[in-house]
Amino acid sequence: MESSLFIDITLTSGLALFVVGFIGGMVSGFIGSGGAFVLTPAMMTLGVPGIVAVASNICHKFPKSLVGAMKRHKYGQVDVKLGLIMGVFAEVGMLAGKQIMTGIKHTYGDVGTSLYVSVVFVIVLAIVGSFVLRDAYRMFQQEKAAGGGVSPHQTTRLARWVQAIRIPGTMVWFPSIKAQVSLLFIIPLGFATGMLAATIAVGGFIGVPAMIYVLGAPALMASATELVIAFVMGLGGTILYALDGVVDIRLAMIILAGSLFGIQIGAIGTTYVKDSVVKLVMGLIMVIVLFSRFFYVPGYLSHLELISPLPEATIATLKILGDATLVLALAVGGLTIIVALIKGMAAHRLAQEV
Amino acid sequence: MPYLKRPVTATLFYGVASLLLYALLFAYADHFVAWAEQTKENKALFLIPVVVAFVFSYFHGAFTGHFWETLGLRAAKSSAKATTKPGGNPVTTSPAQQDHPSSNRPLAQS
Repeated sequence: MESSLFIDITLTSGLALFVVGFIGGMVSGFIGSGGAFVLTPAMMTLGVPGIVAVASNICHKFPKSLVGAMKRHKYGQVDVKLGLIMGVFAEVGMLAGKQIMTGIKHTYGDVGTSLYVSVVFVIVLAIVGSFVLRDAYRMFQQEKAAGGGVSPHQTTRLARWVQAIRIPGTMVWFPSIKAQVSLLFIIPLGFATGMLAATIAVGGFIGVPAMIYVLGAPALMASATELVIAFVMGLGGTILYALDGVVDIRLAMIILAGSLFGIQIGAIGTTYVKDSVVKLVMGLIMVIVLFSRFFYVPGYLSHLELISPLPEATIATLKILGDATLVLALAVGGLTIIVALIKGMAAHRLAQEV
Repeated sequence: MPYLKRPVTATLFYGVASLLLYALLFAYADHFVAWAEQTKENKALFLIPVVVAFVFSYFHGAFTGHFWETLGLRAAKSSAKATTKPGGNPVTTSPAQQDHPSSNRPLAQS
């Protein structure tokens, strides 16, 4: 008899997914993405086959992003046009990313794809994560020098150049950027966001920094607009996986139950913080996630016989450490958001009383 | 439904609706699993998880929004942001608009 892809869900496993979904939702509501990188391994640890874990994760992502995007749209933070355009090309990028993963899997097997994912993780997160964190630090210094005031949004030199290029027939006005930008710049950014989403499950690690530093959108608007991109990608991804019959709707809805509680907190939190805090949370998560890879890579290299074989017990221990680092990234992100929210609410109340 | 504009009533209404949906999902869990497994033969069944996700996002999304609001967790009133079109006037989400009862409507409608 063919074994089922769908596991029995116990109270403990259900509660665990609810909690991870809650923290992941909070991070998503705040920085536009995140949480997905913990949910897939968490489900696989519970015995869910990889393909079902990915499919169910995506299936919870699109309704979560929809609710988050609508909430933040109420606060005037979403650029729907930019989100939809980038979302469509992100969908194409996701399909291309999936093809690359399939090709690597056929040639080098599962370990080959894991190593590829790790290399992408390290390159993207090291470059973009350290840049975002450095920018957040610079903004905090400026705010400190200005006596705690808001550091004004500064458009990067690259974004100014992108906005200055006029290519007839391709120029589109975007409210978040407050300028016209050629679609020819938007297309590759959307594509790269989708490629990353298909590879490491978090396209926002490219999408949000790209909107900030390449297009010139403020961090708060970029993180809110990313939710629209995540919705478009998530819906497309869900349809594709659902056609293969691998979406476990029970798992997806348990995660959604927790993540919708979280995403409301994350979205409300953005109304109390400055751009610099969004960058700080994003940079912190990216850098901690980057460190998780150092624990996985020796195992992959050992399996591919690129280094002397490591004992299986050592590989298993390193994997647990890597998973724990991912959980730590999410926990640090969640905690930073809660602290920022509490501080912001207190300062806001004080300002209203004066 | 004007009575749903009161946060506590709305929280209770959407909370019960959300709870019912989850009860139904798990009462008929075997059916959902079977439908997923039959999708390869009957492609139209792919719509089930998509529709379920949309329905849950509407009711549970509205519930969680009202839930935090009832507990006093609300957006900052100064979160208004202006968006300007070339040659147009700034369009602003004013604090008054955010606090208007209509902002309590389910998220999926906002």
